[in-house]
Amino acid sequence: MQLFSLMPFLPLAGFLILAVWGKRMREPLPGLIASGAVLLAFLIALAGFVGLHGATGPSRQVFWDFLPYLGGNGRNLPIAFRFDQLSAIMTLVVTGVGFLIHVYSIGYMHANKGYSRFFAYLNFFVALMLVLVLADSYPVMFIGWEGVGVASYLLIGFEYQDFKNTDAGRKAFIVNRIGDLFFVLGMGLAFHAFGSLNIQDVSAGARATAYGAPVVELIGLFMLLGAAGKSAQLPLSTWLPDAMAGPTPVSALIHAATMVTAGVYLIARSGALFTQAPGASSWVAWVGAFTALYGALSAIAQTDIKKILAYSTISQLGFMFIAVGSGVYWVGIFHVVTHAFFKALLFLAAGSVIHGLSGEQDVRKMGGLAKLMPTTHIVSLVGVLAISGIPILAGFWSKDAILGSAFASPLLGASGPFIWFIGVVTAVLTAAYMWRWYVLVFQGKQRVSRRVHESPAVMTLPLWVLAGLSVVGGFIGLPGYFPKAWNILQPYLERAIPSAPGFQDVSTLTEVLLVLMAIVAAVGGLLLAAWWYRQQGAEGLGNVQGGFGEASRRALYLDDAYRVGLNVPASAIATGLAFGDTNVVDAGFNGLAGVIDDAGAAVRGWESGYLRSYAVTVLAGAAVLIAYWAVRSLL
Amino acid sequence: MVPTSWYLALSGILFAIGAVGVLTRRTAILIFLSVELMLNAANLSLVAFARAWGDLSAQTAVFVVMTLAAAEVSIGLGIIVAIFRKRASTNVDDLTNLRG
Repeated sequence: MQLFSLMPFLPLAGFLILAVWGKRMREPLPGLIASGAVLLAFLIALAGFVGLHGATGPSRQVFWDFLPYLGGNGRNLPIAFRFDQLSAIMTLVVTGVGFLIHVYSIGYMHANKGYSRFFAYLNFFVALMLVLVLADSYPVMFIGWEGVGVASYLLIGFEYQDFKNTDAGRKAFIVNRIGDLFFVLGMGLAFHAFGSLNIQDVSAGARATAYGAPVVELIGLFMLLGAAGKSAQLPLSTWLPDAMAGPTPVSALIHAATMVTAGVYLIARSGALFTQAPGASSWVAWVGAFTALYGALSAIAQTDIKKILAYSTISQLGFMFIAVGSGVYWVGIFHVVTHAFFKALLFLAAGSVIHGLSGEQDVRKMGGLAKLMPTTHIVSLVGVLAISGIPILAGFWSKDAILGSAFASPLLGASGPFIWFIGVVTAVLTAAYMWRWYVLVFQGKQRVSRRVHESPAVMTLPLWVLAGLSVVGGFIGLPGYFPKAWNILQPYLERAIPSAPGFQDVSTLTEVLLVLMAIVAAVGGLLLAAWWYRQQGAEGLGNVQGGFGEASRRALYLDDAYRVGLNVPASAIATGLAFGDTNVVDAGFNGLAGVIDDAGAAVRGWESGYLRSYAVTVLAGAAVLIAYWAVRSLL
Repeated sequence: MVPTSWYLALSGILFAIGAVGVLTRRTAILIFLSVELMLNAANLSLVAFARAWGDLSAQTAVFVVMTLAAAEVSIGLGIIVAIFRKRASTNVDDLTNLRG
């Protein structure tokens, strides 16, 4: 057993311990156990990450040679883990950010009745997420894929006493199920085409297939739909805003930093296949572009501190899809990493605000918290600037890399510049809605009536760490106009997930112009929001007026469209079927039962219980028989 | 020699007495006695026929009936005793628990 393969088992052990004995433990202990398990996994991931820097290749751990002769050509389906450069980065993010959020939760969940249950679920999630990113084959990845879905469901409905929360959990689960169906279809088709479900075999098979072959395109499209479910892309994005019903650390860990990036991971992991599928890749990028724009437009007029961040997450995931659709898989993962830093930071800061205001989530009722919550204020500012793409902060580098690669992608061809343009527009909107968020929460007059307190150190410490990472996190992937050796991430990741070949060489002038555009977009967005605030004040910023404000608040009517297009017809059909069931099927069987019942009632009287009446019957019967024989013998 | 028809007449009378007893008596013991009477009426006619035809096979049937009656007595009396212990009565009109 190699060391790296222990990683998922540590949080799993934590989960089991907390599931069995958690209820009897006193308060900080479950949190400490859960955090400790994740910290140990993080240390293992760190060791593995460093170990992969040298000449050593990826390592593999087979647990069980399941179905030895699957496919008839000697290939099997081993239950195995594989630790390569991509797994290393992903496990570092999952366990690193996961650890910080565990620590934060020790403070956030203080005095909650479900304290140990919460940490049990969190550990369960981390374990299955590690299975997902360590999987050597698609079915094993699917185990983790479904497992994190279960964890997500459990944690969204964590406060299960309120039906609103459990409904949100169910919605997340059901919408995800639609995506999962397509993931399974993609797997089936891949097995049909390449005779194996091992990721390496499928990748090799895809490389041997013709560029743009229909089968590869189709597998790619199926995987895109699967990924769209998990990563809340259009049209399966509606579950993520509702998922904010869960406790805030859950939103930070599962619905911002890690689980929702699983779709990006799936496509990056299948990079060899998508490289051969320009059509599917274009779809990935276009879905990402529209989702990015959609999320940003929806975030502008939201009034819930967490919903703004939720739509922002949808939008940022769209950016990641643009990256992996463009064929630069390392850039997609780069944005996964930086986004994990600043979005976890923003969510935890939002949690700190909610905690400090004893549960208030409406940004219109906040304001002026900069003085009252100085730490939360500073780290939030860092997060806002990082996600807006202000230079040298983490978000700038990764977003710039995405926009640059979309512009020149060989897989997107002529549509690349269009996607780039949508990305730039979205970047403006991103800076604008994030600045609106910041201003409404921290600036202006204080609109809260209750006492406000800064969060304890156990919560602010993870915030500081994440703020630091949000500042420097982008330096691992510096762009091409810096010396090549400065970009650590690209060569590291490209050993596992090579980018699509044939990127157009853009001139330095174009590159500088692109970067300038990105900076202008970020700063322009901030200024736009600042100007807006100046014109209308907190009141106008909080309640966005007009048709656009209404549309944005209702997320461009996507939920309403589902209601009209799916829920209403489905209820109508169900009502019709229920009517038929009651009035035809049930009525038929009830009628039959009634006939038998009546027949029974009619003859029941014969059973009087009096012995002598039975005796008379027997005698009469005998007499009749004798009479019959007598008459017959006479005739 | 007594003609067979006399035996049959006696057998018929005995059977009728037994049948009337079963129908009119309320005590389980007496009903039981009446059933025995009917069985023996049948036995009598069997024996009479055996003599009339000179064939012993009907007599074996009589032995079977007698053994059967003995077995029936042991079980039937057991049941009656059990019922009496439970109800302090053997009146069959009270035993109507199995009515529909």
